[in-house]
Amino acid sequence: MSDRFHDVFAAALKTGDAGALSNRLSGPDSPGFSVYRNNVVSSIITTLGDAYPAVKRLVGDRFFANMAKAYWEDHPPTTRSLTLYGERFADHVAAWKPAENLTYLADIARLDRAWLDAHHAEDAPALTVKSVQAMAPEALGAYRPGLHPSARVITSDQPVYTIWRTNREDETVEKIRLDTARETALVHRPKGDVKHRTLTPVEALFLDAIAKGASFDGASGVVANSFPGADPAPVFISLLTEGVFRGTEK
Amino acid sequence: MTSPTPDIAPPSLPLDMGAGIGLKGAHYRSVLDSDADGLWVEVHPENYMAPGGPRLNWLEAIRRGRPLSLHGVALSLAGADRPDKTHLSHLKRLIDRYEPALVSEHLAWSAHDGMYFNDLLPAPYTEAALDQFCANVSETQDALGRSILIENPSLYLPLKSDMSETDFLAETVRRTGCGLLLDINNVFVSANNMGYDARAYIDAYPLHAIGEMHLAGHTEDATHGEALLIDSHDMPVRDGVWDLYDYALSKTGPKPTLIERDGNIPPFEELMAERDQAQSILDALKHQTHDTARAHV
Repeated sequence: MSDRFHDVFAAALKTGDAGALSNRLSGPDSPGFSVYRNNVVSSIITTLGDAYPAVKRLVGDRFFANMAKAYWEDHPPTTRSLTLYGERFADHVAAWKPAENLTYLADIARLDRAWLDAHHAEDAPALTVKSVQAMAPEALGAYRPGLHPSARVITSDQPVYTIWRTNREDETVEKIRLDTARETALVHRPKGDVKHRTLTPVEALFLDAIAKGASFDGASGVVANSFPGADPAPVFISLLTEGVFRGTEK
Repeated sequence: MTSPTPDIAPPSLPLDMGAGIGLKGAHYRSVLDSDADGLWVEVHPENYMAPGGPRLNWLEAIRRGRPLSLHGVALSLAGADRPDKTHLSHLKRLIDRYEPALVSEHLAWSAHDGMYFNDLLPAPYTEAALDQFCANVSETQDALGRSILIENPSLYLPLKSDMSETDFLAETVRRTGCGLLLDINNVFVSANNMGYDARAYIDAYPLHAIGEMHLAGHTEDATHGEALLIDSHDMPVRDGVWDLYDYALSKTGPKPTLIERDGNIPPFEELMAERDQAQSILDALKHQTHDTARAHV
């Protein structure tokens, strides 16, 4: 019997139609079912709103709630913690018809997601200047560090980092021209709080190679191919001091 | 799995667990700096199930100076299925790391058939449901290696049942050796919505098993008004709930008590003023109990 009760109730929660529950009730038809349904739906909207604050600010509470509810209908949570719920929200935003004119919105969702992932990422050590100084030059050149587990790189054809940053941080948002430039952003948490900034094309290419498993020499080679004359050394040093590479010690 | 589990001892509580607060990110620093006597904190463990991050480190720092309660919402013990093994292992990992004084869950379900609903859903109080619930509580306690407290829910729907909620809870305590978390606001809300007497509920409740109490604010439903109260946790504790708390404490003596606040989070000082009110009630009761004991010597 237990199974059937839960089947009926769960189905009613999904559709919002409590008709099939009526013979399970001991009292007259009660308005109480809608409380459960509202709790379920509103907790999802709140969870996604907390996870995607820049998206929410850009489209407003009501528009966001509709978009979040539709996401829940397609992708209900399957894990018992909602800390990282909404993994596919950016794709949902990209395909959400009412938002099709907001061409930057899905990339804003990707940046919100990068912040969330960085915030909750494993507390791993970053590669330090000291450990690099301890390596022989050939060993350093052949070393494949990979990115720190919190590091995310988001690339867009539009100035999405500028849009995202002002909507996350500023009380009054900046005016932004959409046709200015493409932007690549780094979001990471070497330790403490999440940090973010835009990357130059050279930095972006260098990090992309490292993320794909290249050695430091390999990444420098990729940069030299695409940007003849560019010096990868200062790029390497600034990214190293910012703690973007995965550390050697466990 | 329905036999008592005497090998699981009820945890001995730290002596200084007076009135606590639900811990919110906005109050991490203030809690860490507070010197309030009896203050302890409670969190939903689900919010700390992440690979890493500052939240986990804050909780560790706060835990060093204060007793902690892990109050779960996702085990779905009144569900049709057995407890989720992955979730249990995540919970066990948090218990090992933070060594909470209390671990609690609900007489409710929140997941079914692979889908998580993130709400405390009601189940009918039948013999079959009791068997399944007790088996789930026992399996949880075995997996965690400790006893847990079970909280009475806020009810919004009158489901066909074979027994009262208090009988259901009393039998669960008898079969599993678990303790209980008496949520005073939930009693108030359910009594109002289901049309029974809140004090009679307390009278019938297995008071000996209480390890913790909850206090919270509720709101009237936007459409149905006072006929349908919602356990909203977004405002101060109402007078009627404070009265019912006094009534319960007059029967149980002082119990660790938590002010739950999940929405419209007030400044720390404002929340602490409400907590201090519970703390003074507990302090007064402790002195009274102490004086009575001395008078009997």
